[in-house]
Amino acid sequence: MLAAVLRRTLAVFGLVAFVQTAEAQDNISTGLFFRADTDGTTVLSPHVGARVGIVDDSTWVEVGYGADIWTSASIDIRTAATQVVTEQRDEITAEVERELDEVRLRGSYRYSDEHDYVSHGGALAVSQELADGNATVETALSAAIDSVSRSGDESFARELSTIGAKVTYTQILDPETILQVVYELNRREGYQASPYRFVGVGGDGRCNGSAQLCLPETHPAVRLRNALVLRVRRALGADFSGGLEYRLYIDDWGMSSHTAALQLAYVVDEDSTLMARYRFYLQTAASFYSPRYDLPMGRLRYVSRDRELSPMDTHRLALSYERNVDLTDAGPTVRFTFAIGTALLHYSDFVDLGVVFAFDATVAATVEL
Amino acid sequence: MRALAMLVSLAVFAEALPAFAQEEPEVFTGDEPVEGENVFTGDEELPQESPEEPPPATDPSGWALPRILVVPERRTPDALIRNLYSLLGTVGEVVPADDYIREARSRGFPPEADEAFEAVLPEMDVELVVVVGVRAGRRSRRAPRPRRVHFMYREGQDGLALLEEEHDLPSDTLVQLTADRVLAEARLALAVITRPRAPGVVQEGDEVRPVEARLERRGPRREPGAAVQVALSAGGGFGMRQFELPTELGVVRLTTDPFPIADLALLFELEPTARGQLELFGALHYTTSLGLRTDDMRPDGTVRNTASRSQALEIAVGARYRVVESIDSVALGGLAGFGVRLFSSEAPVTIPDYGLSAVTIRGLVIFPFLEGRLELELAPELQFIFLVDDALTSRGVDPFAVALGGVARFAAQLTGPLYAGAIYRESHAFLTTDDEGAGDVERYVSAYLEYRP
Repeated sequence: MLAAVLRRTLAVFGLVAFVQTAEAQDNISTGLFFRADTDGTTVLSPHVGARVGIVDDSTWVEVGYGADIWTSASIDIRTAATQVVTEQRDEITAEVERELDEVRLRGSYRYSDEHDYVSHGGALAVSQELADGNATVETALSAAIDSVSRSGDESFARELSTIGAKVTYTQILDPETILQVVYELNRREGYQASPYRFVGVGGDGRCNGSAQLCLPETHPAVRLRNALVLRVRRALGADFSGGLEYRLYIDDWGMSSHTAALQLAYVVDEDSTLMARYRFYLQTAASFYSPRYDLPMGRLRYVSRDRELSPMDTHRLALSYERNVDLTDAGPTVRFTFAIGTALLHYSDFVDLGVVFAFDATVAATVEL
Repeated sequence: MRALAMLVSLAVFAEALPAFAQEEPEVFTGDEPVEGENVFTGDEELPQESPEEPPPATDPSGWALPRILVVPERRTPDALIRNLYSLLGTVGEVVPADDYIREARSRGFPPEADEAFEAVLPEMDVELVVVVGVRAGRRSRRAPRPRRVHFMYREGQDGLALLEEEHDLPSDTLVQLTADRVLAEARLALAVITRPRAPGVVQEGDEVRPVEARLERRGPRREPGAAVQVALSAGGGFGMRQFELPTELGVVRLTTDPFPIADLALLFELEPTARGQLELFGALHYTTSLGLRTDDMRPDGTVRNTASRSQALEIAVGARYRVVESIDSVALGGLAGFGVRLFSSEAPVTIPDYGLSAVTIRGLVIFPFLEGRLELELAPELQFIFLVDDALTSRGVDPFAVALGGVARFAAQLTGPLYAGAIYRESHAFLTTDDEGAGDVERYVSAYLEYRP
């Protein structure tokens, strides 16, 4: 009962996904995401998908196709002294979900392909309602197998396998407040470096600079990642709702990160919602990362020029507007979403890269039966 | 008060119809006068009956649960719909409204409109229709607006309104008290509906009033409005690509064996008047090779095998016009749009990565069969190429050219929202260079599934 009240409250504020209720209506969705940054990278990501209810409307099948068309002259490309690179990654997803009274089962598969990276992944999830729907526990197991190759080098072939588990506990505190705790454990084993990145040893750290030695990027083969997330959402009167989120991440490469996010939603009218979200992210470097590696006296085990392993912090602000529109008197209804975001990424210890500004925009539409 | 008024009208209606309550199957006593073929004159030879086992007065094998169509109005919470399914499932067989809604919209009526029930229900084979929607209560500054759930119970043959009720809806599901009331309302509505609805209920010679006369109208009759349809299709098949470009070092030539392709399309259709003669549409169509590898002959005579990709993207708008006003009519039409076909390789090879951008004009002839459940489309095509990539222009290719081709498509309806079909496309681009002609040929065949929610 309380769960339903809260679900309605959150639905009003477009936060249904937080409660992880499935959309029962058949729909077709499409969207386009665009991102550009001052590091010379642009990404265009179209997506289409469909969700169909079958078997007494308690089983749903969802399929989707998406692509990332990626053009870059980023620091990685410039360091490798190659021309602007354009690549495309295609992804197909399929999901089956079945509702059995208070239990919801979900199985999904993902296939991703680009010319030098192929990935197969799957997940199984069980969600159970507790305490008359006032609490929900979801357990998910996932696995993926990736094959990494290098353009122009047929002899290069590496594997990466990933297994993971995630437990999500959602508790309704009162008719207007919901709390969620998530713990995720993830183990990756295999090749986790970039086949195109080389690390300068000695000198200024750049292979095309004054480095005396240039080594292929080498990372440890195993990585154990832990993440703990806390989220709170609350309806603030009739027209507003707010949310707070904190995420702690720790792995055995010596990295840790803290994420804090604040979200505010405003119901403009019965059919439209406006949302603002701010996110702050701060991470430490991996234990083996260094902006410059000195010539070692002995063996240098791991070297990296991955900016994602360097110390960094980001600020991101996003605005989104969602509106339901009836195409005709008879329907169907289309839900339009427009979103823009801007981010500032600050790399405090990375050679040749300090601050990057990024801009992104999303246009999406979902047609519901 | 309104419920009371409806109950009064319900009682009047119950008197007017030969009603049989659900719990009380029809029983013959033998005293009723029977007319027509069933009248006994006394001259007939009566069948011999076994004194030990008298035949049952009714045949229970013919009994069936009443079919209840649940029609949710737009924005009705999913949880409420599922709640109603399980609740009404205790008094009948619940029929989800997907097919009904799809059919009503295709006829240009809101699913909850009288005209939609009148047009579609005769094809649905249901006894009772329950229309459910959520109404907003009075707005409050301090809390989300309260809501009420609204029910309209309708007779299943032509949508005659039987009973209208409204209850508080504090959450997305019914509280027990409301659920009990809804169950009682559904039983009451079922009690006044003639069942079983079988041949013979209306006898020859009975007065049958037109549906319009029996429907209680709340306003002027609604004319069919616009109908919108969105479709998503995905398929796979095989494609071929040929390219020829004369250069100073000789002719650079690409010829592929058939390679697997994937084919995706998003379609938006608008009939300004549902099932009228004119239909407008917009389409986005994407085709890509899968796992294409090509052999590149290098100047030194060595062959390099490399991953390549052939892609085509088209966005177009168009119209088609049914020659006569019938869903079975042949239709003529056309579309105009923008198309680009691309070829790229993973590693630098002799054949450059290139793209051809064009304005596409395509004529359409559509032959429907079986009330539109089968459709054959033929579409000759002309493309005006206005942009050729620098990789080709730097080799002397003129940026302006034409391409000729066509599309043939066949589609069949499998179930309500699902279609299957096949498409064949071929296009020959005639490029011009400083000296001789160059060309690009694209062809593919694909089988696809199309989903129209």
